[in-house]
Amino acid sequence: MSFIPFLFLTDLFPFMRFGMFAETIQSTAQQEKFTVTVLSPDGSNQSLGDRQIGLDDSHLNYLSRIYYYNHQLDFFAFHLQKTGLIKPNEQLAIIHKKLVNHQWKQDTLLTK
Amino acid sequence: MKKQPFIRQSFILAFQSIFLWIVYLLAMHYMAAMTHQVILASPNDKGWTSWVYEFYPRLQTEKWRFSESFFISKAEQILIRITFSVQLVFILHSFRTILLEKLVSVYHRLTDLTIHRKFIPYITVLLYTCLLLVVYNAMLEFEALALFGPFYKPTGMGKLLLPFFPPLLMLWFIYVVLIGSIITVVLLPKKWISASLAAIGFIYYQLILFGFGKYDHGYSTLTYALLIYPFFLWEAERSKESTVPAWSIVLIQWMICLSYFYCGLEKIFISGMQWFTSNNLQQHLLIHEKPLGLALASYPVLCQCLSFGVLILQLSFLFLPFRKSLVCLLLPAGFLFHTAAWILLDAGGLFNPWWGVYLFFLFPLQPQETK
Repeated sequence: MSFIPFLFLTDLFPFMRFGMFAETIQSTAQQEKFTVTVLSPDGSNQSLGDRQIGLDDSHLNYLSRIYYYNHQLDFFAFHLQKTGLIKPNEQLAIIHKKLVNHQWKQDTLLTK
Repeated sequence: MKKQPFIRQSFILAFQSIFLWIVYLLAMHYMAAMTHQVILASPNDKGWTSWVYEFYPRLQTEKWRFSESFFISKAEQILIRITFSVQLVFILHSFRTILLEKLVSVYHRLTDLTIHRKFIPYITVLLYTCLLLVVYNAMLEFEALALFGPFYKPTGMGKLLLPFFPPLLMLWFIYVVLIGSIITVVLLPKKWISASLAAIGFIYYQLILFGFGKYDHGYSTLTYALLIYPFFLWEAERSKESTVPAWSIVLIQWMICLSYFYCGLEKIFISGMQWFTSNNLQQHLLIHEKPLGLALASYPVLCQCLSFGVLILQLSFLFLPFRKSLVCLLLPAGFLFHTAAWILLDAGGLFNPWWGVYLFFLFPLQPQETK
């Protein structure tokens, strides 16, 4: 089966096309979650996924993870503002949660 | 059995040894090169050459998340697969005479199978209903993803087939082709043309979906089925007999079984013995925070047993094409597995195409009547 490529969609390097859940969890980097949150001027906040934008949480989690680790969250926020998904007076925050010893620890990163 | 001449046997042995040494040296060179890449990259994070990114696009993000050992183990994964494949080839080669006989007989038995024409409409309707259940909402997904267009980064063949995020008009075109071909494959003659368009449309749907860094194998068996099924329809339309050759249905069955088997094999390749000791399922249940999953996570021994059960289930699918009686055991178990994965881990949905394509096991295949 290594030689039957899953057409067009692969990231070839480790041939991990069928490797979902196959990796044992050994580092906290594998036990993390990202939530894209919109902070309103009145102090309330709402997950972007809850705004029914048509994109599921797992997609948002992946996108925010990519831009979090590549230090491009401001670009991410700028673009979301441009599309109108978040209003100019709202601020985007990324909540980064890590599971350490069965306890969630979180830090919040505010974009400009 | 006729004895092979001594010189010929020696020649084969020498060739095998030289081949193994070449593979061994290439493997050593590969590991040295990859280890060098990893070590070079670590201190300043700029050492990765572009070819590594080409084959491993996720590195862009993963390099910030993991240590050197993680990447060295990833490089080893390539080696494990090559070693496995080479050894398998040598084992098969050693038993080639017996295996060839067996293979030829199995091949004839499988290609000799036919299916009655009366079942074709049922298979077609069920298969394309599965596809419709997956893609009926595609345009909404496309419109949402269009908002994230600048973040579109295709990988692999996506670079060739869809190098940019399509404009809205093209998204509509893909959607109309997809839905239109599903309808026409059921209603119109010349079904194989609509079926081929549906397969192409579905591949483009996935290219768009997976162009944002999130790849999964949720649609793989359905894709295999959709790519092969037009051949079956083509053959059915050409023939006027009451039965139709079922080699393509058998091929789809094999693809489904091999996909499961490969999922199991991946667990052994990637995690090895750790799969049996690390209680992976418990960790995943805690991360996904589903109420039932969290409840189950408090029983580590049960979680470990379930992990083991999943591995056995996935590997067992390899035997399904040979033992049809396993259908009654493996298919319900597979259905339960996917439904549990949805409830406990939020993986997939209420309808999962992995069990949707079980339909290919439901219709009787019979050997061709001798004339």
